[in-house]
Amino acid sequence: MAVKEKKIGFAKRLPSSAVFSIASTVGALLFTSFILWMAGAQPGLTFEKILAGAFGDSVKIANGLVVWVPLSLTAGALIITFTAGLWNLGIEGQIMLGAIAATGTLRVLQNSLLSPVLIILFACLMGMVGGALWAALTGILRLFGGVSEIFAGVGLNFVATALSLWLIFDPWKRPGVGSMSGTEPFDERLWLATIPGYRLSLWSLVLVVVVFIGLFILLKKTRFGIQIKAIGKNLEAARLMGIQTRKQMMAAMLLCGGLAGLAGALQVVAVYHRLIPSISSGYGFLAMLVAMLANNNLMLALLVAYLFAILNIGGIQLPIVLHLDSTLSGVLQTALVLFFLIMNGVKQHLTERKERNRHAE
Amino acid sequence: MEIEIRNIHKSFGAVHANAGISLTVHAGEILGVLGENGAGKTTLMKILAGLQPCDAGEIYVDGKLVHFQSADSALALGIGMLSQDPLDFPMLTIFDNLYLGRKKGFFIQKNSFRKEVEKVEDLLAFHFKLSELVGTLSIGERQQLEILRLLVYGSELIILDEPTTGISTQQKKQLFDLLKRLAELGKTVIFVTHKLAEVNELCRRTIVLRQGKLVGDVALPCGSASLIQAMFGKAVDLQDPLDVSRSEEQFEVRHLVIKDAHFFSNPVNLSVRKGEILGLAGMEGSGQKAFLRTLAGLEKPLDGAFFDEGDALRWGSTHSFTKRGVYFMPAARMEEGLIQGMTVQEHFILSQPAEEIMIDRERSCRISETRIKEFSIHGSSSSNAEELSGGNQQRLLIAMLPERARLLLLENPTRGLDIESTNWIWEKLHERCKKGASILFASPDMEELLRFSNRILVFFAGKISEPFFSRDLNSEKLGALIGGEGWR
Ligand SMILES: Nc1ncnc2c1ncn2[C@@H]1O[C@H](COP(=O)(O)OP(=O)(O)O)[C@@H](O)[C@H]1O
Ligand SMILES: [Mg+2]
Repeated sequence: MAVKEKKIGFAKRLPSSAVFSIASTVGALLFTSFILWMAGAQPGLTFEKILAGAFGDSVKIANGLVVWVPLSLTAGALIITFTAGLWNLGIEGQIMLGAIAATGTLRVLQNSLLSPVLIILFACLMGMVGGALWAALTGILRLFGGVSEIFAGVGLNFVATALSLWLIFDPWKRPGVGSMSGTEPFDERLWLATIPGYRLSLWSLVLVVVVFIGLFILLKKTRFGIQIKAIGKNLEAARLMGIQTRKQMMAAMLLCGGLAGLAGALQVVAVYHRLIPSISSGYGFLAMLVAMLANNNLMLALLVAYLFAILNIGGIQLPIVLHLDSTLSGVLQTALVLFFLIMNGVKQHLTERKERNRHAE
Repeated sequence: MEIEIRNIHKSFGAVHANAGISLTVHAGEILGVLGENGAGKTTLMKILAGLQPCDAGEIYVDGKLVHFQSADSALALGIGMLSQDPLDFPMLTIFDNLYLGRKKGFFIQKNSFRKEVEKVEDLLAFHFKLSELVGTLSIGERQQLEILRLLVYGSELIILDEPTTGISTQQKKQLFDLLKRLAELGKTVIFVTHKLAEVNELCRRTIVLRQGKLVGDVALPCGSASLIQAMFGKAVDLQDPLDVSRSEEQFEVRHLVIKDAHFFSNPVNLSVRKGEILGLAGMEGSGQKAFLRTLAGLEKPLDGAFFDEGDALRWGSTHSFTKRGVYFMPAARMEEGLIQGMTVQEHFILSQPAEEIMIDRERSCRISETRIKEFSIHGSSSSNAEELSGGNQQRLLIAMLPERARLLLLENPTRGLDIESTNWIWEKLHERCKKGASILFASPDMEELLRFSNRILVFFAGKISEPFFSRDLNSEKLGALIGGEGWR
């Protein structure tokens, strides 16, 4: 019997997930090409321009990495909650709260005698705290109020947007009138050092690497990591095994929020040097696509985040050179995720059919 | 009368139900035929009683080769078999039932027949009211009637196939007394059972069948270990529940009112001793699951308290229950118990309480390997839970129960397992009891409940009975209670 099963398993083995990933990428490219073709543009030329926009010169490459930093940090953060089976759609708000907390900290400390390094460190730390607290709200609503984390998170995103707008236009407004361009920029002393001539900070890159090593250890090597995996896959079974499901889910939310907050704080200290209305730049939602496309795999997430960053930066050129809207990159990104989800569905369907066949025998 | 059978073979398709059985039965003895379900006992007996032909082999009665075409021809030679479910006519009187099978004489000779019957009744020292309807008799009485009938028709050898299923302890005693009396009268009795205790009580000699083969011919009484070894082909500890009358009470439930989707229960008061096994009987969905889940801290009761060595546990926090060693094992293996997409090793890591932050892969691998061996799980550390077969998933679930568990709340712990695996799982559970753990388990199988529990709670439509001692119950009584009869 066992022998027979093995043979069947071998003969009908499903293609590996790499095949599915490649298939969905090809599908997305074809789909986007089709749209371009409909719009009267040349797909080949468009992709070429996107690549040129992303890799044309060293500044462009650096700019890609500037986007990559918050995107990968946030994707890493989301992988924690996704692993725990939590759909943390409040990620945008958590980034924003990180930025707000960092800005507030900088504002309070900017005239103190502390060294700038300490102030920046402290701002990042408070950014993490801010993001974590915002995530905690979602967690509490979910775990103790029975509100789905999806609705709680989306609701809190609105609140976070409103909060940052209010801060920019009222208490923290520029001398004179508040403006959509944000709060008064901080003194250069409080900027995270960037590579001369570029907007990119080496410190941010180092941080991403450190965070991802930490995440890898957390998810693969600790009891916490395996416990939230269990929770995400079968909450009831995890509870029966004596795992403190609420506590661990809350911890996952806090960690995710903390990392998202860090990404937000970095946008303040390293990129914008002030609070602007949409400081999260939609990276939260984009990171969600990244995490999904990477199938919650950390290494893949870094790569996919980079791919998305390139598409973002490369797309900026399109309106100028091809008179195409720059949101085309968005179309490509979303198409990628859509095709991935479709392929996932196909895979699931095949797996189920295989299961059924196995049982029928 | 001496019966000798030689090299009997009988196959049903691929199943070799009897594979070359030879045996001699002596006059006046009570021979036990012991074996697990499916061992081939019934098959052999039916062949002997002419109820079914064999593929090969011979039967000698008093040294003479015989061939049976039917039960009647066997009975004519003095071999009668009490079927597992007696076929009689409930609407006829006892007398007519007996009279129906009569062959000799064409004319109705009721009076002389009645005399014959009464003569046999005198020998057996019991008397039926012959004018009563058979339908009014209990199962035990019907058996007696059946024996009476066989004797009236001249049976020298009486075969009883699992006659104790479904009768009360008292009826069993009466039956045994009757069989001993038959032996004293020089009749031969073959007594088929899968229960060790019964052959030890009744017989001086037993044969053991396993997988169609005769694997033992043992003089009794004898220690159960060797019989079990023969029955199962390996040593199995088929223990009775521990005697817990003197062990201390460790868990107590006071005025517990559980709620299910459809009902609230009556208040339950219960204390559970160390090493005690409590069975929860009842039809599926009568509240057993809700009861177990409540005691595991998974559901909140409407009222009541649960004490562990005097400390009240806080409802609503499952973890505070598991921390104290109270564990629930669900019947829905893949849905609630195991995690799809995670390996056996990961299951062991998850289920073992530990304080350390980092996973020691090497150690957990070792633990996993030992457990896999100890619990004979067919699969490897790296197999995903869903790749295991149902029986192996069940073993995995049991293997995952941590050492420190003190109260095991098990929902159908042997669901879908064959007898050997069932016994094996109970052996493991007994070990837990010896270490002081208490067990509450729900099961749809009355035999299992009666065999393994110290006490039994019966659930019926949301009502929960007082605990019964299993030794005061039998399947008939328990069956009635499960069906809602006999409740105060
Ligand atoms: N009429 C039948 N048709 C097919 N298989 C049978 C039949 N009777 C018995 N068997 C099979 O033969 C084996 C022995 O059965 P049985 O003699 O009833 O065992 P026991 O009485 O010891 O429980 C079992 O595997 C059973 O399934
Ligand atoms: Mg049988």
